[in-house]
Amino acid sequence: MSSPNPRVLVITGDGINCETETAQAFQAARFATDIRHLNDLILEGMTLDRLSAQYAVLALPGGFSFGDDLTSGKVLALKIQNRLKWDLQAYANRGGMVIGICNGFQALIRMGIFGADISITHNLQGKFLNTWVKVTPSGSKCAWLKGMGTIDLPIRHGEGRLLIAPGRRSETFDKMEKQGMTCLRYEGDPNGSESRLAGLCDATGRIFGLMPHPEAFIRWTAHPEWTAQPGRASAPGHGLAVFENAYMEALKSR
Amino acid sequence: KHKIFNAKIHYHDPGSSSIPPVIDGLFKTTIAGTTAELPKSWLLSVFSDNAGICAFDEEDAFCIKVETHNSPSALDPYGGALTGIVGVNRDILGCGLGAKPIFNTNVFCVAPPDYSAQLPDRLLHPRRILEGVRRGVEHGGNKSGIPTINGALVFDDRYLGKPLIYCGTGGFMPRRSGAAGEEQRCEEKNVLPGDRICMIGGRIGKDGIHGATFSSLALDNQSPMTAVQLGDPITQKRAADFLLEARDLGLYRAITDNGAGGLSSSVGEMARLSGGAQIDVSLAKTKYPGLKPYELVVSESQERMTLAVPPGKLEAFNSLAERRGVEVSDLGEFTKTGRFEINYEGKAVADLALEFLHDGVPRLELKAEWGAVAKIPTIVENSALKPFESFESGSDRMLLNLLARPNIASKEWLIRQYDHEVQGMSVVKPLHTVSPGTLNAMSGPNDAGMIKPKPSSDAGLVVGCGINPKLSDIDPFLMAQSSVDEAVRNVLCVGAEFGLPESVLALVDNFCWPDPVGDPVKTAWLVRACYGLRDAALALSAPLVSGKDSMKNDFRGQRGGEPVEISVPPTLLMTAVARVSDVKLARTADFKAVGDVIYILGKADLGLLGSEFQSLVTDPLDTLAGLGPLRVGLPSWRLARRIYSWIGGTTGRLNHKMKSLHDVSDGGIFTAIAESLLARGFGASLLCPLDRNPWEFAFGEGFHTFIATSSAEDSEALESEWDDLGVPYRRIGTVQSADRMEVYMGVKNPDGTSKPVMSLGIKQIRSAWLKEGYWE
Repeated sequence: MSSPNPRVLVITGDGINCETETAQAFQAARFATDIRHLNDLILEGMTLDRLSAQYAVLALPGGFSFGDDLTSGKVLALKIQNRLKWDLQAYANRGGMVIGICNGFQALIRMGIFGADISITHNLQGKFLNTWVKVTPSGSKCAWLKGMGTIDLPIRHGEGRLLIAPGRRSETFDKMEKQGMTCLRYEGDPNGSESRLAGLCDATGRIFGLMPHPEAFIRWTAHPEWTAQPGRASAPGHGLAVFENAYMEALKSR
Repeated sequence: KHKIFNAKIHYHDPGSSSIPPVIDGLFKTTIAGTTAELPKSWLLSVFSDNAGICAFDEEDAFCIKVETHNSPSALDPYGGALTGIVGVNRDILGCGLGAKPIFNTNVFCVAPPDYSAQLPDRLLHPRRILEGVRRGVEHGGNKSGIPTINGALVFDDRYLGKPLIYCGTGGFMPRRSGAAGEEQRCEEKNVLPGDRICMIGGRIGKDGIHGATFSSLALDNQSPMTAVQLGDPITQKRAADFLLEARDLGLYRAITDNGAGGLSSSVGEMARLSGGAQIDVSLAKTKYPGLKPYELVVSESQERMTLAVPPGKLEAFNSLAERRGVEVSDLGEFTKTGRFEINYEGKAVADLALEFLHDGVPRLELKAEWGAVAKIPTIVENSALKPFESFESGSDRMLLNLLARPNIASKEWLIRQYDHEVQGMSVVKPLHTVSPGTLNAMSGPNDAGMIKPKPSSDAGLVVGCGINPKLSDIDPFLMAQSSVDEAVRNVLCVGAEFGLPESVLALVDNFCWPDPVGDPVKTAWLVRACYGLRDAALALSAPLVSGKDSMKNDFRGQRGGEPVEISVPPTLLMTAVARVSDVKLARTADFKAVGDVIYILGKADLGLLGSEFQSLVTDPLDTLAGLGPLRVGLPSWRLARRIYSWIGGTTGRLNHKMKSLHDVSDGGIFTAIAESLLARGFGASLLCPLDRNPWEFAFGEGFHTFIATSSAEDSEALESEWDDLGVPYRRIGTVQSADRMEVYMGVKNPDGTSKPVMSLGIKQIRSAWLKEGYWE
């Protein structure tokens, strides 16, 4: 079969700043990628139908969209909902996949993808933090994490602490657990996040958001301890599997 | 314009000196002159553009610029530092045809955070300065999506009056860009008469009026707050994204940033290329009405770039800007009248000949008198001295105290608040980390940062710095040599290439001085530093590609009604950037495995004068017995070239026999070894030679010295390679599993009967290094 590689739409503009490495990570997993400015998509009227027809994956990269001045990711979420009028749930139901990394995850949360009772706020320490963490997938729901064990990834955020509305905490959490949405946890506790959650997926497992940066660990030489084993310098990094999983899934969904 | 660096200087030195009695401009003779003596095929543009430009490979180039933002940071550390960063980012955006900023490097010199004496009126406590600066860097760097891959913190009481805030940025750009068929080379700047003068980005306000002139005065209690500009990283990020897109579409012909002097200097500079300019400043978008014409011209409001847009491209340029949410003010056009004409609502408000604008500065003449300051002291012991404690009883406490010195202690609290990995290029981070993400995670310092800018290439860039103001008290010549050597050593540790025909190693100089005008001694300090820099750069064949000076780092004010003056020590920051052909050959400073052999690489000609040891010991060293003849470490460039050519040459890099390499700098050899041990938690068994004064051996500082390790199997081959090449080394111990750093005098008996003269648990070493680092 000679059909072209599945395509990824990587959104950029207005303070998003991880678009290049996010596109490169998808390319390393054999995707074709387009980095497009949010305003261009709005101007040319990229509808949900066109998005579904053209792109197997939508990626919301990390950064500080609109300066994060009205809580993180909020303006980006509003633009996607009200200007582009994309219903990401419908996109996923039609076979599309979505990843939101760091600021992109914050935007997915603001859109209510993981329910109205989920929010994200400043790290417990009250500071921006760039460090490496170990994260472990739980359950088999998330299409992006299939077959993966514990991996090392960097976090680089000031607002990564997931919260559940306190009044409905246990029922909300139980429901999310049951649906397999609580799909990624930190091994430690870097930011005070609810139940050490590092990432969430929606009930279809196709929309995935996480605070750590899988696109920043595509090469083994990005690891903070790689020089201890120079023989492995050419190996891929742990993050690549996330994008390769999406590729396998995208081929299946055609 | 470099008033002091272009001055004619009459230099007098009672001793013999290699410095001429009449200097025809320090910039010409010691900075540009040095680079001119080091022709390199990879130098594309030096000292003419906003930043120095060097070839990275056939397709791409990198550029680098380091700025200071001292005066604003003293008044408003947050705004000052933020603006310092986004400001130097704009130098990169306006370099050549526009480069993408790919790394930041930040160095701060402040008074110690535990400063407890009364503060002079209006000065901020160093903690407030540091906290403001930290936030400024966090917002300026992190929000702009530029990784902060390198930096340093230097503490000295004399930075109380003016902190030194160095902000550096590196950029990356294609060597040719523009629309197909109209490509321009990145190092060439053209402007044609008729090109539109477009200002893009932020609007003009009253902030930053006279920022440049204010920075060029001593700080006092009259210094105006409005001189501090206010930056907005997101507006600038939008502008940056737009510019790189417009560059690749060939929508403009030339670009520069609006920094010091605002439009007056950006348009004035570009007008030289076409031969004139005419603008109407009433067309500039403003933050609010009511700005006077001269305020519009000189305001240093941030996030603004000035471009020359060919008339035929104006429509496309404007429409892309609109889609990117970037505002354009079309102010007028470049001309060839030889004049810079400034109108307001059509009426002339200024009309200057370009010649006057650029060549109208009268030349300064300065006197420099060296000799008023003590020459390098050599102090021999005599019976009148008070005995210093014995090495056996005091060395462990000395090491712990040194590790806790703010200049040496962990900077992790600061480093982790900066994004050092965005853009996905990270190879060597500011810290190496063992067992990341676990409860046992522990980080130790690396010597320099390395990134891999292109996914399609294994080549990388290494960025490191050297700064050693303590030596200025002895001789600024030596201080400058030391800064250069330290910057080069740092990049070598991580894997920079050296001494090969294709080696790319460039230097950037940043002088921060107490005002030398009218003070022959301070002028002599400057002369000596410039010649020391020249001497070291020539010896290491490392050309200077860019630089900046800040010459009024003095505070005059009051403390409790009494007048007080504080001047910074003469401070030279050297930044080194090197290209590596394969990032997979990078090294870090941590000892890797039990049983590895520990070497001192280099002659270890170290001294206690001008060291952290000296700063820590409360008595003057020359009153103490037992420290040996007191010395200061001196350079030996022939030897340096031999050592560095091995480390950065083919064999030193390719065979992976050297498993770690760490620079010996602040705190000397024992401090360097402790730093290499603490992350992994191994111990070390070390031998202190009997033929050396142990204090000087353990804690002396100087030139050309490294700590290296290799596996036991490789050590013989390495030693014979070093013997053959004449690379000095000393085998001083092994990495051991017992988590203690133990030192034996002379020999360690194999039967285990020797008692160590020093024995410290790694946990003690860690907590000393970490505790003082976490001051917040």
